[in-house]
Amino acid sequence: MKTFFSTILLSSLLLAGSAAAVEVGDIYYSDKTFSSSVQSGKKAIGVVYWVSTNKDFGYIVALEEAPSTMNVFNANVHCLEYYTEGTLAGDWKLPQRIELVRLGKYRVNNATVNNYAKINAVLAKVTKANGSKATALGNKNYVANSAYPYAVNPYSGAIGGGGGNAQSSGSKYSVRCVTAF
Amino acid sequence: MTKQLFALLLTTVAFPGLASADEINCTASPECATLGYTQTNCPKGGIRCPFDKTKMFCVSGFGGEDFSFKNTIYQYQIVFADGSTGTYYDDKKDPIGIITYVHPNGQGNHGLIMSLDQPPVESRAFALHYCANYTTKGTKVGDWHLADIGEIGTMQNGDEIDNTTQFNTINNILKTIPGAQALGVSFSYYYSRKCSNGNAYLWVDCDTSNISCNDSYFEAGHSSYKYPTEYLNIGNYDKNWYTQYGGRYNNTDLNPAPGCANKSSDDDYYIYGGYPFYYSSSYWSASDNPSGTTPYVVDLYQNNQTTTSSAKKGHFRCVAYL
Repeated sequence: MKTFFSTILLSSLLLAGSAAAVEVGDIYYSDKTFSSSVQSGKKAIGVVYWVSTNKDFGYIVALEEAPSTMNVFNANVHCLEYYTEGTLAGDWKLPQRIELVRLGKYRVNNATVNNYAKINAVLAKVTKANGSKATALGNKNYVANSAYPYAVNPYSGAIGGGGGNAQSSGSKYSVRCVTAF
Repeated sequence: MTKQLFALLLTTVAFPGLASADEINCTASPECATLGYTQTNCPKGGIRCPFDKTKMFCVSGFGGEDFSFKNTIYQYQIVFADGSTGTYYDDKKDPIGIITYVHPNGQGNHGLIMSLDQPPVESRAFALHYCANYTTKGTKVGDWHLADIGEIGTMQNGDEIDNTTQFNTINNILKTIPGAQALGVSFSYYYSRKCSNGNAYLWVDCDTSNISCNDSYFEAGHSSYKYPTEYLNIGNYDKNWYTQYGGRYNNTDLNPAPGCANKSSDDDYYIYGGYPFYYSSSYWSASDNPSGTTPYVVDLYQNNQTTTSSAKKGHFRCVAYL
């Protein structure tokens, strides 16, 4: 009986297989698929920049950034209205601090993760749906969805910010929208 | 685990061919989630739900069951050991944490769980080790870790553009859970009546008898203060405790602090109304300044963050991003 169930279970596992794990640096396409290299005929809309331990969920950064620096109020509106081929307004968001600190260089428990170089290497070979080049992450402060607001430089990993969340705030930062899977 | 595997086997194998059409019509299809098929991707292998091929049960060596949420989750829900969540405490279940952040994939199936336990203040190295070995019913060692700066930030006032009350919101929920401990607890500090060097009051830790008025003190009018240097405190101290617990030094309702009565170098050590007199909401994070090795610390109540020496003792909280 034990063998019977083991056989069934093994068969089930083999039949089910395992879905391909998504990795940091994978390209995200408008048809909601991922690949580790550029696939012709597909339209790239983002790059995976963080995955969970089991690689079953993670964050995706947009291929472009807002055309100008913005205060956090306007940055939030920009990302809520942002869309691409295959996605709608509301599918993207201004990253919260937990999402933004993982975008570039960061150091946790004495181990440095440098996503800045890794993500920019992918962005350099990806074109947007309109055929133009993807925009590299810059050595500058990107704003987080926060009241203070916090801002993170993905090149250095430095966290700063300030200026408040008012619509009239004059503290402006670069803006990059993110989504998740 | 055995029970669930058996159910999985039955649903996976029995339904497609063994039952007649009539029998199938009489049987309501169970929800995949209730059968344990809660994942969409299983890197280490898994079983697909026969009723919804997009849902899977992940298997990791059969050595134990991975925690997974059994229903759609929302921020500030209480998490129970069986993977369910709810707005309110359920005395028939075992609470293990609070959801402070929902992963934004639109499915409500992953999120950050804040533990219910508030360990005593400790060094950052201790905090890292403690959380790496932390576990609860329904979870296992390795699921939890010391919160990094983004994760501890989800407990901090102002972490979202339209929300500046996270700290109080979480503490109000913690109050409803038996055994759960609040964020930002008091240190075991009391105060003395006077300092010989003219500073108004000395912060006193009964376990630290060598502390002096030059190390730490505060004045009644808040015009001057210095925090005890051995403890992590990057925020401004909460003045509420001062007015709440007396407003100023007076001779009524003062009692010697437990264990301090014989330490009379600066008069006796006193507590007002039985309350410790020093409060901090500064927390260690697992994150370091990328350009150095100093850890980031955040003040959850006052929305400050900085880097500081890991030699101090500070609050910390374990989290699981599952």
